[in-house]
This record gives sequence, C-alpha cells and structure tokens, in this order.
Amino acid sequence: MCSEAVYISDIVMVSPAFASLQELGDKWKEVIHAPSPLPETDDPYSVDTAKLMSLSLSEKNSKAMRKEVLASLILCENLLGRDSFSHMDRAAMSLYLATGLSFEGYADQINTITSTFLENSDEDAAHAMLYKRIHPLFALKTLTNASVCHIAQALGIRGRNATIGSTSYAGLQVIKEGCKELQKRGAEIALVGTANETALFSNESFGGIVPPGSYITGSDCFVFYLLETENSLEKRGVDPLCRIKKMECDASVADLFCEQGVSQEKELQFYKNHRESEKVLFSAPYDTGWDGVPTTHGDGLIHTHKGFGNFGVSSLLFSGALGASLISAGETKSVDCFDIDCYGRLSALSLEAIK
Amino acid sequence: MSNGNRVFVVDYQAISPLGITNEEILQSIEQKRLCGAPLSMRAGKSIGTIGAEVKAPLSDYYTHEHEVLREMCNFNRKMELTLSCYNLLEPRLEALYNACAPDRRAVAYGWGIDIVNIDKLPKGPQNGRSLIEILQDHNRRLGKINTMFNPNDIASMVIARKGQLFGWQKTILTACASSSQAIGTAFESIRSGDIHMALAGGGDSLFDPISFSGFSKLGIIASRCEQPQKSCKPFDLNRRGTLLGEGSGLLVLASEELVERAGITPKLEILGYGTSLDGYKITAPDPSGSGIYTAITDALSDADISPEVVDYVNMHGTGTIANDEVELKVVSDIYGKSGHSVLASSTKDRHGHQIAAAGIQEFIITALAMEHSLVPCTVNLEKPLSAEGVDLVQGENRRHNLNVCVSNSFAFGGVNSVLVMRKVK
Repeated sequence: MCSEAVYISDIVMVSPAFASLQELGDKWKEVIHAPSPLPETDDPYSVDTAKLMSLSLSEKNSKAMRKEVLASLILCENLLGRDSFSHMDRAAMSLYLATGLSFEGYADQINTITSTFLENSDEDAAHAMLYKRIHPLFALKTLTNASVCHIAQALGIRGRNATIGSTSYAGLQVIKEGCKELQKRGAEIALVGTANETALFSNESFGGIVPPGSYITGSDCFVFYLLETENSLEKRGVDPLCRIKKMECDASVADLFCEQGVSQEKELQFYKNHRESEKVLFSAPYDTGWDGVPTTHGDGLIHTHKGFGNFGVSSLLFSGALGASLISAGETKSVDCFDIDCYGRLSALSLEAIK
Repeated sequence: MSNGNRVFVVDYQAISPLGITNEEILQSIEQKRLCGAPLSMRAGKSIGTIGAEVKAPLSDYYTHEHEVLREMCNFNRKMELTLSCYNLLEPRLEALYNACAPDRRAVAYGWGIDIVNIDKLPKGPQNGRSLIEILQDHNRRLGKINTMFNPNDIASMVIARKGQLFGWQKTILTACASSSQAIGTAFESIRSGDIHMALAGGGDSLFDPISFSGFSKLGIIASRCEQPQKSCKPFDLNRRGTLLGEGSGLLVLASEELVERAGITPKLEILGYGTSLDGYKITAPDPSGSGIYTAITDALSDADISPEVVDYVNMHGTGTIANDEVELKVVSDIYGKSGHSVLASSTKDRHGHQIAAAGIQEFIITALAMEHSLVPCTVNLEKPLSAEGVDLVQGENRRHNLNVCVSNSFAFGGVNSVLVMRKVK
C-alpha cells in the first residue's frame, strides 16, 4: 500500500494497437489520449516514423531523432500541452523513462558501411573508409538517454531523472520511481513513461529468451503517465483517472542457460498471491498466436496484448492504461495488471477508483 | 536530509586502465601514471588516435564460465570488463551473501550503448547483406542467451543470477552519468529500507570501430596528439578535448544493520545523492550551469551537510572546452561562497573518460583517496582556469585527510548526477 496516495491524472499513448482498440468503443479515447491526428499505420506492429515526424514541432529536429525519441517527445508535448503547468511546475517535475533501446533507429546508417567494411581486404583502408562515412552526429543519435534529454529541452523539465532499460519489468520500476518522488522527496508531479520501438534487432536480442515453440513479435508502444499527489490535483482543480493501490514484484531471474521457459507455476502463483481485484489485465512476454482485440477470458481475466505483438518495455504501462480506462469509465472499481518479462521477473500494478 | 538507514560502502572492485586490483590502482595514482596511448585496435592505428585501454589480460577471470558467456565476452568488451570485475569481487562477498536473503539484495548497473564490434566479424564477401543478416549468420543461441544480440540489461541479469540478487535489478542508461545514477538509486533503495545490500556500478568501452569513429567525429576527443599521455588536460587553459577510456566497477553497498549482522567493517558511508536535467542542448552543457548547480546543492542537502565541510571534489572534468568551464564556475559558486577553499581535481587525464563507467571509476578513485589520505592531482594541468574558492590540485598529489568528498558526473544531453561520501570514523 502506498504511504501517501499517488494518482494517475493523465495518460498519453501511441501504438498500432489503437486501431484494434477502436473496436472496444470510444470510451477509452476519453482516458488514453493520443496525438492528434492519430498516426494511422498499415503495419500492425509499427508506427510510421514519417507520419510521426509530421506531428512534431520541428521537422529539422525530428530528422535527427530515432523513432523512440520522436514518439516520446510528441507524447510529452501532447500531455503537458493539454494540462496547464507553469514554468516552475515543469522545472520541478521529475522524469523517469524506461526504454527498449532499439538498435534499429540507426542501423540504417551502418548497414551498408558494415558490408563494405567487411568486404575490404585492406583493413587499414576499411577503417579509414568507415571513419569517413560515419556521420558526425551518429554518436548523438545513439545516445541511450536521448529521449529524456530531448523532452527536458523541449518542455522545460529539470528535475530528478533516470533512463532505465530494457524489459517490461522496467515499466514497474519507472512507476515506482515516480511514486518515490511524490511520497518521499516532496515532489508533487512526476512524468513516467515507457518507449518500446519495434525492431528486428530487439526481436533477435530477446528471441532466445522466450519459451520453446513460442515466437516474439516486437511492437511499437509508447506510453506516458502523469503521476500527482492529492495536493497537486487540488491546486490544479483536476480529477484523476485512478489511484495507484499497490505495486509488487518478484525479481528472481530465471536460469539464463536453461532451455526451459519461465515457470508457469511461479507465474500463476504470483497472480494468485497478488490478485485482489475483480478485473485482471495481464500481458505475456511472447505472442503464442492468439489474435483479435483484448477479450475477457472469463473470471475477469483480460489478456491485453492479444494479437498486438509484444510491447516489450511498455507492456505493463499499456495494461495500466487500459485498466485506468476501465476504472474511469465506471466499469470496475479496481484492476490488477500483471506482467512477466523474458527473464521471468513478475510485476503487479493495482489501480483503484477514487471513490 | 532524508531520514532512513545509513548506507555503507563495504568493498569495491574496478577494472581500470590503472589496474585491476585496488592496490594496483592506488599505486598508479601515487605514481601519477597516465594511460593515454596509441590504441591497439585496428581503427586506432588507421585513424591515428589514442585512448586509455585496460591492458591487463582478462580471460583468466572467466575461463570457468558457461561457453555462451565466454563467447559473449569475446565479442562484447563491456561484458568482458563486467564479468571479470564481478568474478574478481565475488570471493569477497560470501559473508554478506550469507547474512542477507536474495530478495533483499539488488543490482544497479550503468551500461553504454551496444554497438556491434565489427572487427570481430569474419571478413569476406557479404553479398549485400545487412548488418543484422550478417550477425544472424554468426549468432549462437545456447539456453536463453544469444551471443551476438545482447539485450542491454544482460550484464545486470548475469550479475543478478550469479549473486542471487533478486530484490530488484536496474540497468541505468544515462550515458556518462549511468554508473553514478546506478550508485545513487541503490543508495536510496537501501536508505529507504527496500533492500539491505546492493552491487552498484557500471561498465563501458567504446573501443570498437563504429563507436570509436562516432565519438571521434563529435570533435570532443583530443586526438592526433604527439604526446598521447599529455593529450587530456582538464581545467587547463590549453585543453583540447577528452581522452576516451574503458572500464568497469562495482561498489558493495550495505545497510548499517547488515554490516553489523555480517560483522564487516565498512570503508565509507554514502550521505547524499542529487540528480537533475539541464534541458539545454544534447551537445553541450547549459552555460549558466543551473542544472549542475541543482544537482550539487540537492546532493549536499540530501546529505545534510554544508559546502564548507567538503574536503575534496572529484570533478567530472572531461578536458573539453564546454564542460570544464561551466563545472568549475558552478563549483566555485557553491564552495567558494563558504569562505574555505575546496580541493578539486579531475583524474580523467590518467584513466580516460569511461562514459557509462566514468562515475564508478571516479567514485572508487575517490574512495581510495579517502582511505589513504591522498588527493590525486590532475597530472596534466599546467595553466589552470581560475576559480575563486577552488584549489585545483595540479602536478603533484597531496597528502591530506579527507573526511567528506563529492563525486560529480555529467552526461551528454545534460543529465547531472552528484554523490556525497564520508569516511567512517
């Protein structure tokens, strides 16, 4: 139980999953905000970077960003632009981001260079060519903390921060960090988010970790929550979407050299131990081939990732966004969101209605 | 000051260009050893530049590991530096492990960007294949781990699995502030009572052709110097850029309760941590220094100490035009006002800028300095920038009792992280 109540006051998200979510009706749109116009996509797993660029404030700047950075910046511009925050509010705001850290965003720059490099039998000449062809801003495009820094620069955020990697377990960590800011460090507002960019490289990275017979399809998903104290909500005259009731985890790491997948017994026991709500939203670390939109599995269980691919680092926050939507729409009093990552680490985020 | 448990540093281990044992590193500091040299990697030879490499052979420290880890170490230098560091430390962790349950132990690890080391790939016709296709051909998958496609939190996971550190694991990806933030987050978690013990640090190496070329192109490296050892001159009027380095390191942090239960004598106490964002430019620190000012004053406030009790500041001091001027100005503003002159130096001219491992490297050097009452000088500082209230230690190390020290780490993009530590009496 949180020592001081922390509320989720706003959520922004962009993902190809939006297209499927529309089949749930319009209520989610009142809660989970997206950039407008929504960047539609033909790819069920990927948001089109060019379409994202058309939403950014500065086309010049956006060209120097990888998709994760661009999407995160657009979402935070959208979020803070909608809620009225003073310069002082923004400066004091803390910012925690979990990133899947895709290699894809700059792979295009080095793909051809690498082939040429490896084919050149004169190694000194190959290195000289490589050096010549690396773009001067290449290192900046690869910066692991680029999203946080661009958001800070564009929106005037100056507070405590971290960029954390890289699986869905990190989603719980950024929410915990945000809560700590509000509960222990005297802050009133924290911006927390997760950025998962689909990428062939990421799929290969995590491909060995899923259970035998399963496969992984990475999917774009970028989600940001605004966390606030009751005092801040009162000052701003804002009604929150829901309250954070509880956060739990089991961070024991599975045997990295064992062929067996994550223990289902452990997973089910965790759900059983921490389930308190009527509705349970859960994600899986791999796509076992289910299709369709999120559907009730009976007994209040909802698989939030069904058919969307794997949201990676954004999995828990995606479930949380749907949970907040259900609570805010009055469909349930509370939800438990469960997640297991590819190392077998389990996370639980419980949300509840205000009244 | 945030009330909570006291947090002690009970041990530390670094893999550094200065050495791979605490004794070797101390000796290198005492001898003012400078590690800048022409790079052994092929890119270094052809591009003609320099760096501070870990020269010690490391393979002996992981020959007993699973073949996947050995292969990963061969391909990924950061992993080799990290695994060697943990394995050197592990025999000294038994008492703490015995006294602390796995779910009360954690690991926070700073990690740099994973760029494929294409020097390790077989040369020959590629038939137009992309890098990923080339890597797929050479990938080996044994158990859950791929040898060529390492998730960026693989080091944290390997350490967590080996040490049964199951309270939580965090991989901090904040460029040059990564390992400093890793220490900060572990410190706060022990202080708040979430866990009793943590390994905190980081590992990084940019000595592969793509990373190295990319950083060279930024124009922040003092390259093509006739005297490699003298290339990096933090806080000097004639500074021309930084010296890239590589390394890894881990602190062993423990709560007061655990230290007592395990019967261990701590080396230091961490008192405070501050972090902030410049929000200025990706390429340069805010010239007003306001973000750095906030991080330092927050850390001092968190530690509940005033600037005049700080004996020594281990500066971020990269040797670049932009960083050193702003950092020195802010340090002068904060410490100079207190009326006493704080000792300060940067040691990057000795071991290079280790990016994600910079914070842990410099924390350990500061810890050694405190243990041995030795203020490490900036060896290459000849014509110092002037700053009121800051005694830049140049040329020669000094003997001085160091009770309270501060370590500054600032990252590309304007992430600032500051740690305050005190000698245990």
